[in-house]
Amino acid sequence: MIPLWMSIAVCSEERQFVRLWLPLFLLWILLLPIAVLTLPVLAILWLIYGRSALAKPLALWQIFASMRGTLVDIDHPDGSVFIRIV
Amino acid sequence: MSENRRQILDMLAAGKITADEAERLIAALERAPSSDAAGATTARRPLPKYLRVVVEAEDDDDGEALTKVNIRVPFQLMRAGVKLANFMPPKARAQVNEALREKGVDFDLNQIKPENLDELIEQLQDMVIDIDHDKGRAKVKVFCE
Repeated sequence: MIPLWMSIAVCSEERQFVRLWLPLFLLWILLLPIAVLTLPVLAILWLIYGRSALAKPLALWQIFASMRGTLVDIDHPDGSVFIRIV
Repeated sequence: MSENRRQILDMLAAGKITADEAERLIAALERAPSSDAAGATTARRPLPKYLRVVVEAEDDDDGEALTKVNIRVPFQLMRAGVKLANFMPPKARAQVNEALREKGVDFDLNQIKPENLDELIEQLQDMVIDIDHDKGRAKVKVFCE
């Protein structure tokens, strides 16, 4: 399932804090019309060149889609990083 | 006495089966529950979803500067990464292999295939690496969940 939400927090040594909440589901909503429009093009590419033509974009998409559940939480006196993909 | 055992004894009493046959049937009855239990234990467990790495390390001797690392990587992401790695040009793979070898990691990227990864994940289910380092007071835990 595609990631819906991404949370990033970075804290520097000087304790400057940056926190971002990225609602990825909004991105999907925006991309949906583009996906619908590109679908016939992809289908034609598939028919002409076969599966290999779309293998790389598919692999990239799989990387992105399987990021859900990733958690990186590093807390060090010099700074900290927190990334969570839900 | 179980219903099955009673039926066997009834058949023996009625002369439908011999004593040897009755003995074999009862022995088979006794074996049946244990084989079911064994089957249940050897049944495939669901594959773990995440690889976890948890590190707690104290940088100073006084233990004040504490570094904490908590990483959770979905195995699905690793699978997708392996698929993408298959598209790497052979020259780039050779360079990566060489760089790894220079760092003391004798690892061949060409050997990583999705089916090998599945097998690896299956084997990782029971893996827990627990490192307790007294000198630097570091604790590393690698496990699947």
